[in-house]
Amino acid sequence: MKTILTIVRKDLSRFFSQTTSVMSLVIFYIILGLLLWYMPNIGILDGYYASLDSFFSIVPVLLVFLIPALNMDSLSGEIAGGTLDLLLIRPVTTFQIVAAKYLSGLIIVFIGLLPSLGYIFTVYYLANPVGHIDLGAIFGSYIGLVFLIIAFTAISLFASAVVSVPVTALMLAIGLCAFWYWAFYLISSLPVFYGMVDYWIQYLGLDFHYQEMGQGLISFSSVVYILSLTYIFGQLTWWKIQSVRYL
Amino acid sequence: MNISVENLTKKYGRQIAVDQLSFTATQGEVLGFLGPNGAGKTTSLRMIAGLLKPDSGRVLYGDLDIWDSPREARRFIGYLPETNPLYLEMYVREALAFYGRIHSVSKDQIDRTIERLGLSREAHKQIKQLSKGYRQRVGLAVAILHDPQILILDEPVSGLDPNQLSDIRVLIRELAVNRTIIFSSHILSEVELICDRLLVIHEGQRKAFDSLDTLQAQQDGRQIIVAEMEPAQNPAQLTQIPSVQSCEELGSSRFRLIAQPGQDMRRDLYNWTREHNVTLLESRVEHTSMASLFEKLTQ
Repeated sequence: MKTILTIVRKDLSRFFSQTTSVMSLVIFYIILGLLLWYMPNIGILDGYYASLDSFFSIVPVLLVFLIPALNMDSLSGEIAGGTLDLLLIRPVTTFQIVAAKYLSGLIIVFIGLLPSLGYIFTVYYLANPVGHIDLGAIFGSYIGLVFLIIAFTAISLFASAVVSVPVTALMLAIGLCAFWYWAFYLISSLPVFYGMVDYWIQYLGLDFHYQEMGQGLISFSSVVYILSLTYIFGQLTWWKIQSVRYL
Repeated sequence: MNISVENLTKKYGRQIAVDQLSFTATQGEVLGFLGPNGAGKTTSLRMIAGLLKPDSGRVLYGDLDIWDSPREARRFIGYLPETNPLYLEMYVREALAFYGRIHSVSKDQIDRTIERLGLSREAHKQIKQLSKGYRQRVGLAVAILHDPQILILDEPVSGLDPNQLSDIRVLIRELAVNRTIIFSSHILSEVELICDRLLVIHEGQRKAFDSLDTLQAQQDGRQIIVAEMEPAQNPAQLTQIPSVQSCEELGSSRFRLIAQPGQDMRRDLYNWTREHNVTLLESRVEHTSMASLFEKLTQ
């Protein structure tokens, strides 16, 4: 665990010392804030309801781009720069490297999302009467968001491991995250599946489980599904890093 | 700790990058690893460092097979890759502290390494602000930080100025006292100065493995002596020395004497000068230069 934390500490320190990395989080916040408060028709200031529904519907779209951007050079940078060799040559296991990179990715995104808790207080006090908001739904949506981040980070880390050019890793990660979030819903709406297996096809998509959690329904099967997806991508990342030794 | 490399082979598709490479390097020795570009040097070094698994053959650190006990073996190895990979945006001390924590190295040892590599003034600079020579020192510091018994240095002196070269040369010799060092470089003069033995590979195969003197003697074929005498002699007279085949005048009473095949001229030359009352001001055996030795072995 000490080794994992050492690598996590190094990654966090590198991330927050780079202006471009921190700027990506700031830009995420500016876009999120503008969409949440000012976007015509759905912006809070344009509507009548003190609710964070629009926040929870916008955030996944932004996360499809943000998480791959934050993780794009997590492993690809180390592979391309050769610094992965200096880790592999030390008494560090492949699992420790992958776990550390995953943990760093999660922490960075969670730190990035931390200020969004401020929106809850704002909306809480904007409500009339004050505090008249659905805290249960907000809590459920946050849980959904956490699971979404868990899955997206694993997918992005995998992309960063298989492609050694960070920008290509970014494109691949966005493609994979977007696919797992939306593609199954779109596929299920094809006439051939409609009314037959469309529910089960939708079930494979992350948006299905995210929406379900947003309604306050945190089912065991959703948790198992998302954790399984995370495990699969984590295992694929492990294989890729392990294969570096066999090239 | 000795390194034993036994029949190491690595193929990429049909191409054989390293072919049945075997050698040993002993503690206290600096082994020069030479070969032209594409000869398989880096592939071999990566396999010896445990970064690349060979198709066949094995590498032992002492009695430890590095692919049977990889985690244990990694404690003994320090490696400076050819590309000298570093986290450029990190500070020198910060980067060393990171690797130090992985090896549970004390803060004192990090300070000692910084001092030893002459990085004290640069310790609080970002690595990207350093010159190539100082980056090379940081790479070396990262390699030796945890006091490894085995050091593999792939092109450690490239990009260094003459003063830095001299410093690193002294450091490598110091480190070699109780370690085994494999040193790869294209700077042949440095290899000549630093290494005890040479391993020359070409197209993945071992071409030579011996001390520089022995390799030079093997390549020389005939002994050549450059001598300066007083008074000046006629070259025709010098060819009368029993083991001398030919003599070439170099000017200023200097001559190049070439021996008959398999003959040692030194004793005959000394006796001849005594008999003829000639003072021998200088006499030295001329060897094949490092560059031509390299050229001959890798043609």
